[in-house]
Amino acid sequence: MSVSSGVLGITREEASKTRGAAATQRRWFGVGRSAHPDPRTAGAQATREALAGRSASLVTVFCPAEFDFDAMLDGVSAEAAGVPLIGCSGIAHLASGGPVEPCVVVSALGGEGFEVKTSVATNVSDGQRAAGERVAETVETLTSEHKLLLLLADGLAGEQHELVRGAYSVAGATVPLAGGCAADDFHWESTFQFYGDGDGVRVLRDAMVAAAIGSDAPIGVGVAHGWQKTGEPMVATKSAGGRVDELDGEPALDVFAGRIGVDRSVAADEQKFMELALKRPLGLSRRSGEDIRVIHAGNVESGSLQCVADVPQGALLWMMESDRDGLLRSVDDAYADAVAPLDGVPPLGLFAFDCGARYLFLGADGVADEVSRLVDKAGDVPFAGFYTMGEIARWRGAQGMHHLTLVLVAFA
Amino acid sequence: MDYHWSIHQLTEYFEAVTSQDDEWVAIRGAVERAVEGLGAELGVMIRDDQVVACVGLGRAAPAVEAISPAIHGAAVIDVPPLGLLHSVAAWLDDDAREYLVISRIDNEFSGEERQLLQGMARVLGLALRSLRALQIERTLRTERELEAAERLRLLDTLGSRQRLLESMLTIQRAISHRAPSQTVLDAVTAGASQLLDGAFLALVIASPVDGQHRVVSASTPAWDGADYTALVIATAAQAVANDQLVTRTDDDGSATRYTALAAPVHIEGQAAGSLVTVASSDDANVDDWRATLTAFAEQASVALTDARTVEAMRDAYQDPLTGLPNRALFMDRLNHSLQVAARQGTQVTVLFIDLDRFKDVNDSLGHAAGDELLAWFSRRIRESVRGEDTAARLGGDEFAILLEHTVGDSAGRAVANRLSRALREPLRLADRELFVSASVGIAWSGDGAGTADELLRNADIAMYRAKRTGGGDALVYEPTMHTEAIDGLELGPDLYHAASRGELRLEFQPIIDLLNGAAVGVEALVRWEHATRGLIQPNVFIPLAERNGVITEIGEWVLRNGCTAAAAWRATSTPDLRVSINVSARQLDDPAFADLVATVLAETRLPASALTLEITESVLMRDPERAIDRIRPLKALGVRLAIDDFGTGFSSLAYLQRLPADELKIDKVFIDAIETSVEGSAIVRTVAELARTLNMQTVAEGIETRRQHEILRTLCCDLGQGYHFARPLKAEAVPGFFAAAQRPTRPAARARGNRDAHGPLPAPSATVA
Repeated sequence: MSVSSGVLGITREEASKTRGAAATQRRWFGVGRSAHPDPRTAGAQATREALAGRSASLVTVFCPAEFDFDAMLDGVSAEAAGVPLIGCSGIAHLASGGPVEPCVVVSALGGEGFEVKTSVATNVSDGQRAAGERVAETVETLTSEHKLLLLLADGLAGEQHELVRGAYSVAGATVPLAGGCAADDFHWESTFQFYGDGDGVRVLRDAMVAAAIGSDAPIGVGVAHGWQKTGEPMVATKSAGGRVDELDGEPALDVFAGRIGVDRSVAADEQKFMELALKRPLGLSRRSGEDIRVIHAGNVESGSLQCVADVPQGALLWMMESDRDGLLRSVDDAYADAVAPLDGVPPLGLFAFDCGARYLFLGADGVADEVSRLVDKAGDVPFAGFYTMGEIARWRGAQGMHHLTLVLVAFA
Repeated sequence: MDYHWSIHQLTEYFEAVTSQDDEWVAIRGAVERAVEGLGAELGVMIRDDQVVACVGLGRAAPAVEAISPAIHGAAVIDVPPLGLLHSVAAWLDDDAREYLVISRIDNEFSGEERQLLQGMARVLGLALRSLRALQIERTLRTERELEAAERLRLLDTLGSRQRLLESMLTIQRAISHRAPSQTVLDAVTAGASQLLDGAFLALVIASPVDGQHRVVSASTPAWDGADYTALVIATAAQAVANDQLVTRTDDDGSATRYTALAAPVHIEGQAAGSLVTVASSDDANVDDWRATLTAFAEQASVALTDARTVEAMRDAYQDPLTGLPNRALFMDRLNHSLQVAARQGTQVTVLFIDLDRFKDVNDSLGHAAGDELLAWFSRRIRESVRGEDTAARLGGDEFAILLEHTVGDSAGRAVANRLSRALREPLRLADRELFVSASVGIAWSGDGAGTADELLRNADIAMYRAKRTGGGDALVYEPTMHTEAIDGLELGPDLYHAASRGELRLEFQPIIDLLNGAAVGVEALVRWEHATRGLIQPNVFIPLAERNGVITEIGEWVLRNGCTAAAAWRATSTPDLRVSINVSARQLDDPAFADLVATVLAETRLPASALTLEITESVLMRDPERAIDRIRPLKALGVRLAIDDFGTGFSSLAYLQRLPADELKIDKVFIDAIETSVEGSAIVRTVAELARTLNMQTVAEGIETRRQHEILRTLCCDLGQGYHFARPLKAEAVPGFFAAAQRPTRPAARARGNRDAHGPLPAPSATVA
């Protein structure tokens, strides 16, 4: 029912929209996407939609790993010339409006309530920690009350925890960290990062790009995984980095195969083993719950398992399990945590970083359900993100690297 | 099964920290991983009061002043820009030069987390020790080629790390596979033995029931068949008592001497046992084992905190009805807390709680209802304390709470208030609504209680006093309560016989002329050497004697013996010595007192002018007219009169003027203040001037420093006494003191208006400080 306002002669709904528009002028957040077959056009269309005629402080770009990046980024630059840009390749994208593949997703934020400083570190695999430190330096120049360091890193650069430790060592506990590791559609070969500082956009590998975002309104970060431990615990009696050689003194592959009831020879078929193992990750015992490790390969000869992130020798591990409902419930939990610091103000927009293994586990229908679930929660709040090879979220505590997890960032 | 997440973090931590070969990287990594492991935001390492590493403030470092309260036990610290943070600190080595402090925004740290951090800190300490040794080796190597033996030692350093790690993994597997507790314990001793080159290793745990230390697991039989169980047990007990690594060598005269090394093992943060190794005393390795044994003991501590082990321990420590710790555990924790508090300079508070009218409930509603009431009450107590506080059922309807890291009595009062609020809600019991109240006594370690028993007893006394006021009240212990409590028990009757049994004796504190340092007299002070209780302090028995009237007999005894002694010294060595005797209110009230003084003076042949009677200001001012009446016949005898404790009562100047007093004794509280405040010295100056106006001498009490002496001299104070000159002396020491103090330090240079009133100056003497 519309009720006239005697003074202005407009309906209450119109008045509400007018107030909303005025309130968001100080800060705005837009998302656009395009599945146009021509990469340049796709880039331009998505950017145009995200900007909606506004002048942005930051543009983010997410697209599949097999794409004509140069043409696509030309299209983006044509619409957002001189605007700082960061982005990366992902397993798939996440955006308001549901899944359409392949697709370019562009988000833009601006308004005088936001301040943005971007940074980049290259040759990350030579020193993950130093890269984290380098990109975090920009947060020291922010003057806003609320801050966030958005991080996008090569998912194959190794020692992902060190990236976050480096960033935390410079950003400190007052600045939340969030983001994800670039992915390549499960080929484990190359991922790509994009960085534009006003003088053109570079396509990088083995890099970490970051945006230090300051805001005069709160920013929230939510994390949830939806997995639970099952069976008896095991001790990683021999491991180094992401390779687990022994569990409880036995070859790790044998223990793992025995637990899930398959023959160890299944590891000979890489694709089959990966699909199997992605659904049965390992969980490390931690104060805050379990820190999840995705197994992505097994070596029949040595009997070892390969995980995406490090499994410390001496760690106590559980097999983890989940189901479709459990994973979908994590959307509710992450959203609730992300908007909690916003003091009841509806978010302007969201970034979403979701694990690629969850994408595989959920399948096409499940992913559609996940996006719908987020839309149910967020209403018409725009969101953008991608399925990653490692999620970054540090809100409380010092640990910020996660796996098989959904991370949401909400801007008030 | 409930797995403790922390048990398994220490091995990971060890691996991460000890795999570094650069000290700075190891420290940084250690701080980071401790922060991550404990879900914290801020981690700081402090060495010699300097911040050497910090994680969580970006590239800034906090002021050490912001962090150091955590080292001294503060549970919350304020670190800009993060604000108030829950904090916990652990030291890396026994010399307490290096600390790891971890802080977080959410949630205070549990006992399990504190223990984990202590383990982490020990691991870091061990890693740094190895790294520093390695660094020395490397430095040597750059100077000259390593000798073969040195190279072997280097390899050994690296090898021991691997062995330690393997041992930890073995223990961890035993725990994760739900091995029987004994298997876990055996893994601990076998692992430690392996690390120490196969040395004998024993795990000794204090029995929760009788407190006796027993070996629960030993690695191998003694290597030489010798029985050194006594040495192992003694060393283990000492390590638990001191809560630190101890070394002990037996010396029974036999050919082979053994050295035992014991590191305390903690269960849920409390020292509960020790890991002990024994070697021949001439074994050169023993010193090298210290750090390894300590680090391994921390690992064993974390392993033993495993749920089942704790459960087994808990059965013997827990009150089955309420689930609260029992008296044995409470006393154990209280003992430990007092030791920690003494080391850290903090205090411990104990609340003794007794349910009011519990017997009525038990008698009228039955034992089942009584049990239900106790269980309900224990829950209310639990709700009123913090996680780290210990609430216990001591037995019957008596409960106690232990609060650590407290200052003053405010924490105890706060808990008592919370409990009182919690009890406002009625209890539904046997179809009735009951309003329950409790009497609470609060005592804290800063209030003179030295041992756990004393502290609990003080709280009990305060509770008893609260109960006497009608219940439902909380009272903080005061020493006078102790006197009253003892009064009703056994001291009262004993005091009647103290003089006749020869249990009283006198000590004499010299009184010094502040101007020239000469000793002019002594104050007689009574002591009670109780036949079974030993020395009882005057502040305990004098108030008691005053209340039950024995003070009259004691006072007479003091007067007679004081005068006898003074007369003897005057006759043999110190002709001008004066003696001051304290007079109680009861004595002063006694119309026959002046006659008694006259008799004693006659009997002892002490000149009246050599006797000063000291009466406290508060006694004199209670009824000044009556006091003046009583003093008059005394003055007529020629004795001197001193107003004692001047400044603590409320003297009326009008009466002061009329009192025929010769001395004003300024109370110690004013003397204490003269060094530190202008007001303090102004008060003393005013009193000295007042005394001079009234033609009295001033005597400063409780002079403890040379500086106080000097200030008092400039303030024109005449006489003084206190530890600066001499503690109270036994009678036999007095002539020697006066003989030594023969000459003044300097000649009298200041005219004193009231000098003539007091007769000639004593013979020149030297100051004895």
